Amino acid sequence: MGSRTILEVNSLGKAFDVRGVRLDVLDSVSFSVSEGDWVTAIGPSGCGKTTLLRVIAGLLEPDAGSAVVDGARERRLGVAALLPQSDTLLPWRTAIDNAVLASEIAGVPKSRALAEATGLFEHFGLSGFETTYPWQLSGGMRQRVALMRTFLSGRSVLLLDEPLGALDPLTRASLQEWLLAVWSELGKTIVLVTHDVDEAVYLSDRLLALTPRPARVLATWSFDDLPRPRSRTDLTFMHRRAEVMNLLLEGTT
Amino acid sequence: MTARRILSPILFFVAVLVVWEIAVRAFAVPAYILPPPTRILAAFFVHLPLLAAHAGVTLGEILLGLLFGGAGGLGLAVLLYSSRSLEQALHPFIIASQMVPVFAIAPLLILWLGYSVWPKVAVAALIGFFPVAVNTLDGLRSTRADMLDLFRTMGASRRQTLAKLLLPTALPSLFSGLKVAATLSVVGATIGEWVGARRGLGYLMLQSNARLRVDLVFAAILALTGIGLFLFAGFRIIERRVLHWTAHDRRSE
Repeated sequence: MGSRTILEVNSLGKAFDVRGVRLDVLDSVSFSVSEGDWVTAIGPSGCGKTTLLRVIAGLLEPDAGSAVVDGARERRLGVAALLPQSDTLLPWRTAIDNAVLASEIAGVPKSRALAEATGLFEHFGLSGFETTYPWQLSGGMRQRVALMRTFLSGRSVLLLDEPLGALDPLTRASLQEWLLAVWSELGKTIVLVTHDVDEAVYLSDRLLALTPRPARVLATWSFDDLPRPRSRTDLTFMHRRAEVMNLLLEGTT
Repeated sequence: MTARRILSPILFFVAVLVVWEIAVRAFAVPAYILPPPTRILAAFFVHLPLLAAHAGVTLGEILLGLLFGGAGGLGLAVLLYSSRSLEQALHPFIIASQMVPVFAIAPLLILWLGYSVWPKVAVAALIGFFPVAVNTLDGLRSTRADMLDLFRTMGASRRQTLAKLLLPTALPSLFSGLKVAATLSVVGATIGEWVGARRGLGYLMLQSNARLRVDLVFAAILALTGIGLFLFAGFRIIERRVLHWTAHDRRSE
């Protein structure tokens, strides 16, 4: 993995005004991500994980501190690719046309974008479904198309907001395997937010635990002692998972 | 079940015609007041070439009116969607424009545009543009906020967002507006012809009325109804083809 810092989050603070009441969501969150790394932020539901990603993506401006993505501090929109939590496929586009949307908007000629996507369909376990419309696909397949769109965006930093949250456990487990394979193959930098401890420990190079709202960094881990491919029945893995779980439980109460 | 759905309106319609026929004959109502349905039908077929010639003129006016009214409504909707201040400035006038009886300005339009097809086209367009504008604006506003955010993170320009997200989202509403506009513009073109014309079904109705040929008036009404139904059905067919992705939603409703 490269050692260049591609994402730097510095004492980030963000508050919302909810009907005249100030609601602190992020409180001096700091971390940095090296190129090619997989960093996960974990925290209880509603702790501000999504807000963190939205600030990094440039949809929101921080009230304090800064976020620098791939050298961009002020104009971050369009620098990192965001995969929102909700189902965001365009119903009037086929799977392949959805997959190339981001690169199409970035100005990649459509024929080249389509050729690139066609090559990846098998990789994403979707071959034969290129010209299928979203409503004809299962939830897991739709999510893979959305992930494909994120990977094909041409951006090096991918921000994934609970991409596997809405799926059943089996689909979820197989998509985790598959996500790891695609990530190591395509060499992207990933920032994932999740509330699933098992998923976080299984997938990440580094992990940040966040407190309930306002989110602060409670602890960070480097999983260098967990070589890939990881096994869920490995003792070190189980130990780490319990450690993260306990800390989150303490932080919540 | 479906057979009954088709059969019951036909039976009802036939029953009305039979009662009409019997009543007219039983009370010896003169044909210049109310002709029996058989006589109207006979007049329709005897004067088919005449009706077709006038119907062609009226249909042309309606289609041109729909084209201008539809394009104007769509353009206005996009304009109002993109500028909040413009919308606030124009909103009262757009509502007020619907309070102006188009009937009343039709003579003025004849004065300005002459006895050509254009005043009729103008009346049809003026009546048809409002439902298109209102429906399309609603459609544009129904665009999901998370989709708009996604496009922003992709670095999409205003034009790209309009072409690839906003307009496809508004398309079903645009079609709803066009279907209303289609029926209204039949009325609009007829009014335009009443006020001053040398051709068209509206003109034929006035002429026949003056000569107490009530059967021909009814035949012209029949032709106008046919045009309205034809346009409505036409838009429905185009709509189903273009909006193929909504077929799934319709089924699950």
